[in-house]
Amino acid sequence: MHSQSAASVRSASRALLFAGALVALSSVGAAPARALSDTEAFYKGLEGLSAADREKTLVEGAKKEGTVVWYTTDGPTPTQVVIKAFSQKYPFVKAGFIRGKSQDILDRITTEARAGRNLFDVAKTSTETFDMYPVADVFAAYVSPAKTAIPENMRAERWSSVFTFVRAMGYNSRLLKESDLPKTWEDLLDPRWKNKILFDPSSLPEMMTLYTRWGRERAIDFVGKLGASGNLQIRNGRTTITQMLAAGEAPIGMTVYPYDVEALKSKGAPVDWALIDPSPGLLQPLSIARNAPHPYAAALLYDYLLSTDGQKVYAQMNRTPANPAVETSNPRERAAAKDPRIVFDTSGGRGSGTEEMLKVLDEKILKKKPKG
Amino acid sequence: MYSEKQTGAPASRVASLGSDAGARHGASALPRFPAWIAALSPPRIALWGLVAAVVYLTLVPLVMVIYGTFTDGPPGTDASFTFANYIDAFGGEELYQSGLNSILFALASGALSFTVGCFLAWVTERSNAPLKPLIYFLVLVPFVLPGILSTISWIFLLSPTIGVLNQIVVATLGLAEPPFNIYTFSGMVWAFGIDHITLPFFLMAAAFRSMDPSLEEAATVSGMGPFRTFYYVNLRIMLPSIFAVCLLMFIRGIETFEAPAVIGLPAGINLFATEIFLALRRAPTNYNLAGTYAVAYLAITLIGVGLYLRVTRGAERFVMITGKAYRPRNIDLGPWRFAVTLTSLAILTIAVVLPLAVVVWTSFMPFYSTPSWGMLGLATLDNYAAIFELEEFYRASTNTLITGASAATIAVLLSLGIAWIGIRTDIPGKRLLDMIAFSPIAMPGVVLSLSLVWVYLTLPIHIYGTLWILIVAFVTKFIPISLRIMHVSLLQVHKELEEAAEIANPSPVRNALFVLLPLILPGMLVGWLYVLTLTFKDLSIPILLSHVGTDLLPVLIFGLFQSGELPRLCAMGVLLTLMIAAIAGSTRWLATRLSVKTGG
Amino acid sequence: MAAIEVIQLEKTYTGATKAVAGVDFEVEPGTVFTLLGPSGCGKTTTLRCVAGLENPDHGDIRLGGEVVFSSADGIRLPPSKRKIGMVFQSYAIWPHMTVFQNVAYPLRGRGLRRTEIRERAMEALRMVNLDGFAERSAPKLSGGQQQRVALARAIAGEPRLFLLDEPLSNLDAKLREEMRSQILDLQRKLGVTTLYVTHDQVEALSMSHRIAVMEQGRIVEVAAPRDVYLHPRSRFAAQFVGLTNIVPARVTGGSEGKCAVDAPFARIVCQDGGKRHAEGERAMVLIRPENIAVSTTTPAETINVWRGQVVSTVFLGEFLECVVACGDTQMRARISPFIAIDVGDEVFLQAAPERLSIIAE
Repeated sequence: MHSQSAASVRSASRALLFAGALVALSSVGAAPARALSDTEAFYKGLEGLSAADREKTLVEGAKKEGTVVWYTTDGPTPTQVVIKAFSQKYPFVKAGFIRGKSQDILDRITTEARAGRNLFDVAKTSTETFDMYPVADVFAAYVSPAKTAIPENMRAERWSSVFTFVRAMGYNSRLLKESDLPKTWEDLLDPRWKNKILFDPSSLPEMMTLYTRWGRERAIDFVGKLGASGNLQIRNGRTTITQMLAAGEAPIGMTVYPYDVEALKSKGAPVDWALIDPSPGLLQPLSIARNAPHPYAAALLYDYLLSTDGQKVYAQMNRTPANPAVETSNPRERAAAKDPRIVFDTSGGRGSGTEEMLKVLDEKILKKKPKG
Repeated sequence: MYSEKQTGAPASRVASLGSDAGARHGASALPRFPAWIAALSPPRIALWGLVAAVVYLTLVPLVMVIYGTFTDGPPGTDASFTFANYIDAFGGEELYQSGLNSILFALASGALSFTVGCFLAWVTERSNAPLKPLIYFLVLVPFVLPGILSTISWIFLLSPTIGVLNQIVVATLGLAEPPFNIYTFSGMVWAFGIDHITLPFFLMAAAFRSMDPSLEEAATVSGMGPFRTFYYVNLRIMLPSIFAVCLLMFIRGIETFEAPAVIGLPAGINLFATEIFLALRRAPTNYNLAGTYAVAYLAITLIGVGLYLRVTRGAERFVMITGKAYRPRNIDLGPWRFAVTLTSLAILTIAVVLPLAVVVWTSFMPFYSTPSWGMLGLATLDNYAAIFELEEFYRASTNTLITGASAATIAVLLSLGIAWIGIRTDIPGKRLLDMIAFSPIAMPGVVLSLSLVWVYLTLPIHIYGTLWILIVAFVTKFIPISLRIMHVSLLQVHKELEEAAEIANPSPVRNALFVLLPLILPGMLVGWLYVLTLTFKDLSIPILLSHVGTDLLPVLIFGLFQSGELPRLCAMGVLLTLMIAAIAGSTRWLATRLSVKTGG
Repeated sequence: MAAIEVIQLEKTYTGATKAVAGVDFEVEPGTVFTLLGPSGCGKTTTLRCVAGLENPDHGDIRLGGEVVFSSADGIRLPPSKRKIGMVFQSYAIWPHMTVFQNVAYPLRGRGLRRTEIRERAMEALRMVNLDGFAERSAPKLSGGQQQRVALARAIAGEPRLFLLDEPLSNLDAKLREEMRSQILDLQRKLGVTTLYVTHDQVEALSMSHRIAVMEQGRIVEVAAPRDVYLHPRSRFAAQFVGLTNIVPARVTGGSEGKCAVDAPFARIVCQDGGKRHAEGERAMVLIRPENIAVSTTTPAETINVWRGQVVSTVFLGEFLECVVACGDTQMRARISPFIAIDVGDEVFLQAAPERLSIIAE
């Protein structure tokens, strides 16, 4: 058994390691040979200003620009809420956005960049896929006082997390009591869970979590067993899984987003979530474009999202703000981020680990016919 | 000639004829140009322009995709030539099992869609069963629901654990085990098949409506009962319609993503589309690889099209709108008509009303759960309110309507031109033209969108990020469908009707507008409506091509799905259904007013 | 100058045999020229080539001296510029228009004033006695009425050429008769050159100034109706136009316009058709059934009297048709229905030599 503090140190250091890895990756492109882009140079120029001056400069510039373009992974309603709040503070900036999954957004960004088109200002993605893209080519190195509010292990030169979340085990609270719950992934192999676990196919971070914690051999072996166990029922979409848990389709869902569960729970649905050992933690990197078409407005939006006001907006939607000073309506998740069972570093060392686990996931779990 | 000698007696007319004609055009006769220049005239030029437009629209993305399959990166990068994609895609053994599963699935679901759609079309167009408008309306519904929504609703109905239908049946019949399981091959066939009864319905209804009754009467008089008449006369004559529909259904079944992803994966049944789905998961997305699957689709589709064109060669066999005494009559079913209506309504209740009911139910709930009296107490209008507060909703609706209507109009006109070339002319290469225009159907929508992204980021035509690229994409994607619809519609117009116009009046524009167009307008409206509705539902195009300010409704819906806002998703679905129902209703009203007036 | 000249017309449809395999004819202005033949003989294709709806592979077509088609010179005038009026077999009445709109259509776009269009269309309708039906919706008319609308439409534009493609084949017998005389009247009144296609010999005979009998893409014979019927110069024409008994025989002699031949059952004397036939030549004698007299008693004439036995009789209203066996040869005869003849009767057949003709084999 590890003591809490030792564990949290371990977890924090892992987060640091991960952040370091990301930073290293981001910086790889920023080796001495890379010159500063215009946008980056511009931001560097702002660094000396006082907070008030900075704000004034940005506001004046943004008034002339009038627009900002945001690529985000948020859903329709959260996007609208956030943008409305931003517009209230800066009514002269019209915020346009594109939504999508992290992978889609990064695909779009890289494709547009390759064609020499600079169409976005700010992007919010997810660490699930982040490290597989040439981020140094498309995201700017950006320093801002707003960033300092975010814990160091949740930011780097080219990004900063807006909120954090973990992926946890969801369950139907009417069908299962907390004491019945499996505690570790290996518990999921138990035959009493036959056909009772809803499993989402896009679970690469989960696989990488196992890989990181247990090592390659054990992880691959386990995944094979899990696929052969007949306990899993593949269902698409974590949020759908949450809804299905609430409806009683099955007692357990792997994995779900705590904020989803909390949202339903508050409306009276019989769902809840718990951590399982180990679980992946994810960050939501917010970045500015390396060649932003509206650099002033971009900075305004970016800073806003990390500011107390912006973070509060997310908090109201059950997300756990990355800024520890901002209260969260989901304190359990915030606490979970420090839990030793959470693994933030899911990169597993870039490259072959990821490819291999994805293959294993596809072969052993997704392509298997369910038993019985 | 005649006119100059207005009041002249007939005799003077005789005199004017022979000599006048010669004198009029005199010795110079016609200048002697080589045939092809003489052939250049505004209509010819327009025709070639049409061909060029279609070829550009369809071939450029196709070439881009095929080129992409032989490289290992997007254009504009230092991608190198490679066969790796093909080895990767077609090397595995499971691929052949997946392919086989796909074919079986497509055949089975196609058969289901066709049978149900055809039966209902017959009921509404040829019988005197009561309550037809209701039946017609209900048939449209599955077509109008977004695919995600209907697939999910089937899960909520037929899931072995929470399915409503299962629960009802178990309760009433006291069974030990729930009888229905959506997560099976037949479950998948059912969900997909029953969601696609609308196209067969539309096409067969049009065919039934245009049928020359004397053909049936001939059969009845020679002693054939109604069923045999139907088999030997109706079915045979409607062969091109039937084949076209089955072909389309088959291709749909092969390329659909939703059913295999939402039902197939859980069921452990892998289709061809599943392979693509998995191939696209690695990041950065390997579109080059996805393109190789598109090539396989293309091969299958082209075979199908070749077959279709072969079967419908000899258009005269299938002529049904002649200039003759022309009164398609309803068959009097006598007392059976009530049974027929009841059966139709029963089918539609199961196929359409139930999924819709689940969707409507969920739209009023804070979160989904099995309908029960207890849950009723939680009913709320919040979901609808939230949709109406979304600025995006209004923008997306307007955008979708504009792009949809534009794309539908362009697609229908272009495909009318191609169909006309195919059926009425002998221009060499017209079969090839048909195949080229039809080829986009083989490309999964995502691959098509991506190729267009590549094309318009490379070419100096600045439509990326505007509504125009969406219109171009929709036209390209939907020409195949509107082409088949226009082809079938045109087949049913006797060519002598057009020839009579050709002889009577030298202006091809006038002939097209006043003779051809009115005759083919009902078919055009069907095609237009269908394309418009598809743009309201299609996700694969806007997901890559929508940009800031050009979002479309399907992206909004998908966003709601991804962010798990299921009840709001259902509310959105209900609103969308109502919107499309409004469009469909007014188009049907228009079509009835404009279609060939029938007697009796 | 001829109103229609067709020279060396050829057309083949993909793969198959030639639909039109070398057709030449000329039509004088104001006359009715009929292409008569069984289905598949190429008559409709020829007509459509003249109309411009089909493009021949080879040949020339001139209308009123104007070259409208020439394969050699690459000239191809579109149908609408040939100033023709055409009536299709299916009438091709546009179902979405009224009768008036159908008929007025050819007049549009010529720069005529509305009142003029109305006048001319109404006049065309008057000519076919349909002026009261102008505002009717086209599909609501009977077959005969639709056909008249087609006629009116064809003449409304005052064409220089009138083409009719089996216009009467979809009508019942009574109506056909009526329409036949209407079309005839119309044509004579307007004096418009007409090219008529039919497989019905009655139509051809009653309406034409000249008939071209076609078989398998070629014209077999061109002549005035009387000549085609009474003095066919080919076996095909003889058999296709009206009924004929064809008797193979050998020439034995002949003089002064007559020919004597040896037939299997007797000697026959017939017209030599203006040709000298060598002795011993093999030929065919053409005997029309209505030219054979049948009696139970010995006839007064001595030439062309043959004995036979009645094999069958059919009462056809206007006449009695009986098949008589003369030896091994069976002859079909058409006689007055009042003559009492029964199956099995021994009878005498007699035919006047002037009414029989002969063609070389």
